[in-house]
Amino acid sequence: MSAPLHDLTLAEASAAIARRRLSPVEYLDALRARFEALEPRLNTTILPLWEAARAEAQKAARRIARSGPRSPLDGLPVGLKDIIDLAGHPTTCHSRHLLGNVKAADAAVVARLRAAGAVFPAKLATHEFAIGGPAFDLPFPPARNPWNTAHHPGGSSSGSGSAVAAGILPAALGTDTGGSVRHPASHCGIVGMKATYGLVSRRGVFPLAFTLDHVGPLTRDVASNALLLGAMAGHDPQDPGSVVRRAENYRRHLRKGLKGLSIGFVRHFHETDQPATEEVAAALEAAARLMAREGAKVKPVTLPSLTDFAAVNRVILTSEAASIHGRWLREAPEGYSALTRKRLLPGLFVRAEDYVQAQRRRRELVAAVEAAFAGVDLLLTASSMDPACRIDDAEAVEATYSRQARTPFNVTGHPALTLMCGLSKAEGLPLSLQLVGRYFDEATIYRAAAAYERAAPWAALRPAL
Amino acid sequence: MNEDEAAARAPGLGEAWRARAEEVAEAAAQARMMAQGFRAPADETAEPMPAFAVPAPARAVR
Repeated sequence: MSAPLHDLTLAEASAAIARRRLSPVEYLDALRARFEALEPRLNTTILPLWEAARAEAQKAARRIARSGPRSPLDGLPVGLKDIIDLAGHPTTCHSRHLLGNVKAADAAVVARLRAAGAVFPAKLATHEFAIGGPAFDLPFPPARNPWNTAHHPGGSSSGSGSAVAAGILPAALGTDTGGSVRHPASHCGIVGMKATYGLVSRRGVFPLAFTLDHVGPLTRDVASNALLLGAMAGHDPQDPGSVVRRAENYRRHLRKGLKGLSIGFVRHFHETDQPATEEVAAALEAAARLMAREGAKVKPVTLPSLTDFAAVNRVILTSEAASIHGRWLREAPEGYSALTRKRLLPGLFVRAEDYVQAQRRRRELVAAVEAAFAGVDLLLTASSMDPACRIDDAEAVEATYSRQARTPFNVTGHPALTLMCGLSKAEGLPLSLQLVGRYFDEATIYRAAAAYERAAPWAALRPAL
Repeated sequence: MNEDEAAARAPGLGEAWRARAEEVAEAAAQARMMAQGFRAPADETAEPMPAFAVPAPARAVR
C-alpha cells in the first residue's frame, strides 16, 4: 500500500483486507503508532485497549486467511464513546461518579459489530454523561480538535470526532441527543450520521434523554459511514424504542448521483433564526449551487424557528435527564463537573405541565417537518453557525448549544448527516452542512452526501498534525 | 425560610446544596426560561408525543 495506513478510510481498509492486500494486525499496529504519537496532544481516549484489540485482530487475520472475511468489518477497529458498554471494561461516562462501573455485557450495538468481526481498541472521551463539557475539573482531560488543538472538537462525542479526524481510528461510535454525533463531525471535518429514531438500539448505552437519544457512526467519508451504519442497524426487542426493519445495504445507492433529487434549502435557520458567520453562510450557498450543478433541484423551504425546536429539546432533555441523575444531583453534586451540574440542574425545576406541553408542541414540529417532506426528498441546512471556538472560551462553548441546527432532528427523529463543506480562512477550521431525510430513508441522504463529496474538494483534506 | 432555601427545597435539594444557592437560583430561572421558549401548542387538549414513538416508514424516492 502506498499511502500511510492511517490515511485509509474504513471502506478502503475493508476492501484492502478483502483482497488480502492488508492484514488487520498490520493495520491496527499502524493506528496504534499513530495513537501513541498524537494522544498526548489530543486526549481522545479514556481507556486504551490496543493489546486486547490486537488479539482480536490476530483471530480475524487467521479467519480471513482460512475462509475470507466474516463481513466487510472483519478485523477493523471501531472506537466507542465511553458511555457505550464494552463487556469486561468500565463505562465511566467521563465522570468520577462511574469510575468503577465495570460492565458484564456489550451494548447491543457493540454486540452487532463484534459479531461482524469488528475490534475495539479504545473507550473514547466524551462530555461528562454526554452533556457536561468540555470541562477541566474531571478525572480525564477534554479531547482536542486535530485541526487546531487550542480549539473545541465539538461534543459530546468529542473523543470520537477527534480520533477519527486525526487518523487514529477509521471509525467511532457516538451518541446524539441534541446533536452530539453531528457536532464533533462538523468541527472535525468528518462525516457524522444520526439515523432515524429507533433504527439503532440504545440498549447498553448510558441514557441522557430516552425519547431523544440516538447512537450514530463517525467516519472520514460517506461510504464508510454507510458501511458502518448498515452493520449497526437492526431490531432489538429489549430496546422499547427499537423498530422492526429489514437490514439495508446503504452502499448500493452511493453512485446514483444527485440528478432527480429535490432538496429543500432551509435558509432561515442560519440567516435569521441564528445568523451564521459570513463564511458559514457562503459555504452553504456554494454547496447548494454545487448540488444544483450536479442535477438536484434546490428550492427554499420554511420550517418552524430554531428557537422553538431548541426550547422543546431542552425542556424534554433536562426533564428526562433529571429522572436519571436526580439522586446524584441531590446527594452528591460535587461528583459532577461544575458544567455538568449547570446543564443538568434545571431539569429538577421543570414542571410536569411544561414537560407535557413540550411533548405536545413536539408533535406539531414533527408534523411541520413531515409537511415539508411532501414537496422535497431531502433538506439542506446549516450544522454549526460558527467554526470551532477555542476550547478555553467558556462563553463561546456555551453558545455552541444554541448556534446550531442539529437539535430539530432529535426532536422529530428524522435522519440527519453532517459533512464538511469548507474551511475557515483565518484559522483553517472545518465548516459543515447537514442533510436531512425522510424517516428511514438514510439511503437517499448517503446518495446525496456521496455525490456532494465526489464533486467538492473537501474530502481529501486532512488536519496537519 | 428565605427565598433561596425555598427554591432549593422544591426539587428536594438539601444539605449538599446549602453552599450553592447561586447555582440553584440560576437553574430555577433557566427552567422557567426554557418552558417559555417554545410556542404554546395550538390545541392544549391534544395528545402529547408518546414516549418511544417510532416513526412510521416513509416512501423513499429510490
